[in-house]
Amino acid sequence: MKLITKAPGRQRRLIEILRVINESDKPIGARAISDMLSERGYEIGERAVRYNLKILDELGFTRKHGYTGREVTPVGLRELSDALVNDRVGFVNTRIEEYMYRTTFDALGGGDVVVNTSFLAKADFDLAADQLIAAAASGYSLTSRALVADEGEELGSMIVPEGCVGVATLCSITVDGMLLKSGIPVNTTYAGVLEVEEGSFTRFTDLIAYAGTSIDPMKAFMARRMGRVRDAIITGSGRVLANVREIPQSAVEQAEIVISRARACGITGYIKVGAPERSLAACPVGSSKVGVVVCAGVNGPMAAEEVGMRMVTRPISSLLEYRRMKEIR
Amino acid sequence: MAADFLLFTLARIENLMHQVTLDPRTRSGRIITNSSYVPRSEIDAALEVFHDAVTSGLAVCPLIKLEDMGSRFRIYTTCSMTIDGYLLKHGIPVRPKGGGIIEVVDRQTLRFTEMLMYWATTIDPIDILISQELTGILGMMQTGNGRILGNLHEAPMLARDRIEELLDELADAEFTGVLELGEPNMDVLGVPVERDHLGIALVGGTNLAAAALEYGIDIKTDSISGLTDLSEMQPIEDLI
Repeated sequence: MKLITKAPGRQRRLIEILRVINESDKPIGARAISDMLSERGYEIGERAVRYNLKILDELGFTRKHGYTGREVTPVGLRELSDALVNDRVGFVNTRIEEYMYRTTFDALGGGDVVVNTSFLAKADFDLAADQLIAAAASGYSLTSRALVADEGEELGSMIVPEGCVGVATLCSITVDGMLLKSGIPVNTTYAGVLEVEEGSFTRFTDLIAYAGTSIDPMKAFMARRMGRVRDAIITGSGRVLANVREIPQSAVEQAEIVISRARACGITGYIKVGAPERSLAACPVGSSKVGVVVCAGVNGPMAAEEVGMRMVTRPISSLLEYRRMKEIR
Repeated sequence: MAADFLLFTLARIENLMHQVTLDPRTRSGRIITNSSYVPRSEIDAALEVFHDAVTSGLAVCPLIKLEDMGSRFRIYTTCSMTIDGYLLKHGIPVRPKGGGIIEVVDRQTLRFTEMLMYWATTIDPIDILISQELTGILGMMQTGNGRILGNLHEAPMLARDRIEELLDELADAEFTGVLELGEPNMDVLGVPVERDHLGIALVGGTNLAAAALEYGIDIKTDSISGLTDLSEMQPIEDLI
């Protein structure tokens, strides 16, 4: 039996239950699942949940844990990343929106920011730190601050593995969140590869719209090694990753104020507000909209990878109190 | 001077679709091709894997063109967009939607597990998916279970009978690669279609190159790269 053979509405219900179990930090029973589903708009009673759990067990996606609890199996985890592809096209936007809403960063340097997390071998840290500092100094990443976590410490809801160091770098969604909190509707349109020539940003060479993909565009660019951040740092000519946002024309002045406040808090990376109704660095912009280009927080870790450091980087991984992030040394 | 706007994949595909002149009866005309680049030392192995993939039904057409570039070879293979081009030339308003990964179980295509829309990207979705290392093409060839590259197209449901006729004409000339011709308004491999449309899932021509990559061959791909005249192509068996 396969999930796909069931009616679409049925599939969605089963996957929603699977998501609830997966997001719970411990095995969870039918009643609690029913309550969680209700919060998400699915009114499925405890009995019906129990029936669906039996189906999930038969599919091999869940298994009993203790008397009433359920947990997700490795097959179930795989299913979560494979099923309902149409629901996952554009999912990165949903995730961005969630984090824009959750970030509490204020203009005074307090509150939580959104971070990307990278893990690397302890021995590589000094060299990697040099790259992170250089990328920030050139304006290719957002700030020269980061949080460094030692092995065994928690970072972005993960424990730093033995022999490793975890580094949290600022994610550009923090800026989107600041714009949102000042009443500007921010539309996350594209992620792209931005060309740098003689120290200035010229044009995008590739773009992926967040709304049209089930793969995170930033991860796609990183896997294809499309950046040349190190070249950009050293010679002033290279390629870096950046995000494009659209805001209404009427919000340009307000946006400039927000961005200058961010700069005052140490978020000094490249952020550019375009002109109304004009393509921005060869990127299309909607009518009566203005494009905003924000350099990607992952440029720092990418520079480190380009000099041969092995790093595992997860973009948009968690929230972190900004005051805990310090100048990298 | 560089153009004002970037070229998205959909525009690139439509540009090429319009230039297809394939005539399956005379087996002549121009088709859309993918290019792969293989070092000279690995060309024999690459052709072997390509051939195996062709016989497993993972190609649009068994014809290829081999170009000697000195230190490496360029291999042209048929791109599935050729089928769109042919339908278009017969008055079917077919629209390429996106490329993705298709899960195969017991040699049956089950569903798309990843999808990138052509309007949304300047890089061919297939090229992105190959570098994500999500395919399991060799596994599919050996055990019947795995993950292959495919793409999805939409056409008005009104044209269904005509589409079937045209696909039959293509199949007679060894242009196959249709994984599923959907019923009107029904999902195709788990992806919904627009109202009053039907979906067509095609096998990605780049599966050959992706299989070679999985095999460990140092191969570079450039999907939907241009047009090739059929007279310059030959059956892959002749090169083994």
